[in-house]
Amino acid sequence: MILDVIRKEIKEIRKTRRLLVIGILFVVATIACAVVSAQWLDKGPNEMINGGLYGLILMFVSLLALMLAYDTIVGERNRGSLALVFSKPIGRGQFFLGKFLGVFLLTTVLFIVVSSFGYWLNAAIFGEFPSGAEVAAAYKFFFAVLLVILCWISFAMFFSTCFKSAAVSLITTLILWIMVLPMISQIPLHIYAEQQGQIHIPFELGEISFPIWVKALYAVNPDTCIGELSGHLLGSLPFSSSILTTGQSIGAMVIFAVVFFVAAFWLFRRMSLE
Amino acid sequence: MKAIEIQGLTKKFGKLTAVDNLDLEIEEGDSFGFLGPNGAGKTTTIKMLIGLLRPTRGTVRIWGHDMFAEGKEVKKSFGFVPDFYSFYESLTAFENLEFFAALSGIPKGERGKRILELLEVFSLEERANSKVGDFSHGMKQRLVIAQALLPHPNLLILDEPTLGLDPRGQFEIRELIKSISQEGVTTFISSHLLVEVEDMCNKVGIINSGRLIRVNSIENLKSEIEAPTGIEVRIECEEVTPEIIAVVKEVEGVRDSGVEGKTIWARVESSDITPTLTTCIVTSGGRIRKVEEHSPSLEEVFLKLTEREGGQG
Repeated sequence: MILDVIRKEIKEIRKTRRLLVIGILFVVATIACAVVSAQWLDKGPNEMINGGLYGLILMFVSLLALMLAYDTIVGERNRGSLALVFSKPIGRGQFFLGKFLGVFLLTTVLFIVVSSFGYWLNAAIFGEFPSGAEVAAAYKFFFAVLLVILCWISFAMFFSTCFKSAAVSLITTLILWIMVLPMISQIPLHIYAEQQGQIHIPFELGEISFPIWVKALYAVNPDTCIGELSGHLLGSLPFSSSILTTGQSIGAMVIFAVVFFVAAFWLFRRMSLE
Repeated sequence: MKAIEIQGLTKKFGKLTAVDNLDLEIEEGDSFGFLGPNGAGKTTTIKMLIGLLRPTRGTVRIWGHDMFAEGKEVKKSFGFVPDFYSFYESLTAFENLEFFAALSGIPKGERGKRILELLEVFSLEERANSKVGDFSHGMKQRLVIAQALLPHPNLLILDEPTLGLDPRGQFEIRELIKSISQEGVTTFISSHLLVEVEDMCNKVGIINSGRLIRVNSIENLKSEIEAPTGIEVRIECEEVTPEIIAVVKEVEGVRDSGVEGKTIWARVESSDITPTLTTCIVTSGGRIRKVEEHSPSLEEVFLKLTEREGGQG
């Protein structure tokens, strides 16, 4: 049953314009990044995926996950397809999990294929192929990005379950992603650094030891965590030295994904179909 | 065997009681019409019947199995057509049915054959690979009935099956449902269209303000209304003489009578009186052109019952 829901979800999403538009933008941006990095910035593939330009491209991946997941539940509820679905012998948990995995698999495949293409295209243009260790590090990073995808899908599905309007779900999800989570993550860090006499970015982090509450708030945003993780895996940290360890970054993302997934799942199981 | 057994079914939304202590039994092979004005509690009852909504109190058994204890098993035994629904519009008719066939538990190897069979029955085979988003409302309605029939159910539950259709579409759907009933499938049809229920069902239940006020065959319900008010017989004659008028009044079982032009009308206890009435007119020298009996329609039955219950409440 779960597999059938996954298949249906993938078929349905494949035919949406959202996927087409964001997917094309992601592909074009990845190719452009690969070409620009190799040709004009003199960066090889691992340097490319650790650079700021690639960080912007990862925004498309988060956006894609959010855009595909924001109406997974609210859309079905508003259209009236849930009444048809649940008149059949399928459990709510199976249906929810099928939808979740459908969005996740599609986003993951798109990300891995396009990113791999960009990585090797850059290597080909740069004229120097990466070593085995570099390739392993790059793919470790790509797999870490899957955690971010999980986080954003859980996050968007939570709001999709909370609201009765797809528009409200979309706006809430985007505002929280673009503005609120980055603010929660960055403001305490900057305030604390300023209190410690560090007013310039990047901070001389070797001189500051951040207390746990600052670290915890900093880790609230999965995009921040993947930035940290990219530094650990590829060798360049966002603030010249690490605020979170590899384990803390992964742990924070896992907690984020689990909290929103469980909350969404719980709400969905109790959702009234009245 | 009982297809549906509902006992003490109650649903409250806060202070509002949408369905109040409803008891109902439907036998195998019945075509049951569930009638009620808008907001009477029909859809809420159906949602509880198919397990979409948990009742505040009461039980629902389908083919002897408890809906809320054995939901997954029970759901394999009936098909459901909701009043408000949507298919996945970006998918084709075939893809939609394939998905619902999978959810119905039909083995993968049998799905394709069953889907094509139903698409043919519902005259949709040529549109199998068209997106459902491009379908007319009538086509979608045929498709939603097809999805309900996917697992060969022996019970079909339909909520307002002709809602929003034009007269031709309504006729086509009614004929389809009648043919399904004739094949032995028990049908439970919720509707506010009395003509529809009269056409398709042998038994009706009338719900008003959340309470089931009557369950009976259509004929018995009509008789129930006929008993106090009687039926009206209209006899058109070539000429109405004072003698004929007097004779009609004397016939046993005539409660009231009158004349309208060349037509004598009489309100009688039952249609058994009509032959006596016509004989008396003829023996009094009257020449009859036309005889009409007017029994109460289901609409009148419905209005009388809901009015009476409303008055009591």
